Amino acid sequence: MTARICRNGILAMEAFKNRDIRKLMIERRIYYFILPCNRHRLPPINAYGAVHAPLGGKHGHSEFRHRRLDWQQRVNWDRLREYRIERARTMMKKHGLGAVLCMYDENVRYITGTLTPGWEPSQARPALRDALRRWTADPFRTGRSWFSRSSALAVDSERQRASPRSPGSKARQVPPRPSKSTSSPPPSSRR
Amino acid sequence: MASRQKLGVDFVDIQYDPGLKDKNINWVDGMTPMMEARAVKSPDEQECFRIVGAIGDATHWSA
Repeated sequence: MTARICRNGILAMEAFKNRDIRKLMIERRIYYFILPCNRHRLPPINAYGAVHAPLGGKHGHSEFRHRRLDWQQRVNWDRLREYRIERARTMMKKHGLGAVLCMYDENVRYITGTLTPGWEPSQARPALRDALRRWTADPFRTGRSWFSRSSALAVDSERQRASPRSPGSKARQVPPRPSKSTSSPPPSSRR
Repeated sequence: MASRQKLGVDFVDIQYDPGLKDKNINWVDGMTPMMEARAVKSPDEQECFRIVGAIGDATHWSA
């Protein structure tokens, strides 16, 4: 069940009181905040609330609600993450890349789903955020390998380099720090 | 890696190039694959666009 079907379902449920606007609400393809400026776009029930009794204060409340519901899927974040990483893998496979090192926030967010805080200086971001996703080095790998396999934090990347499970070229090129390798347990127990 | 594969890098500073060459890393353009990957949006991402459009609309009205 896609989010669009679910949204149409909930809109139809909300519109059962007024049969005249049901068709309009079902075919809606856009969200609106319930504000007086959107009065002409809203069904009469919500338009009345936008003027007389705004639920969300002076800013109004939204046609999409902010809480999770059991009868409505809305945005499936797991599916979104899987789509993004599979999309990145497909493009890596297309361009013949074995790995991708991302510096831009957009790319890091696309691959890892995380974002560096904006108050960090841009020059420190590569140092803080090692987004070399080694598990994307195999574009043929599929399945749910999100945060369980690797994290975007540089500490985890150093643990991966120190782990004996990675006898690749990168592990030999980048020697692990002795404090990290001695203090931390083997990462196989963590992941 | 089994063989010497290319490393895609989306941004290369002037300090990165000697470092990558010292490590003998064959790096190529990685921004183009990422841009191509991000270009096509899934229905979930389109839903996010609708929501953020509504938020921006309301923000412009309230400001």
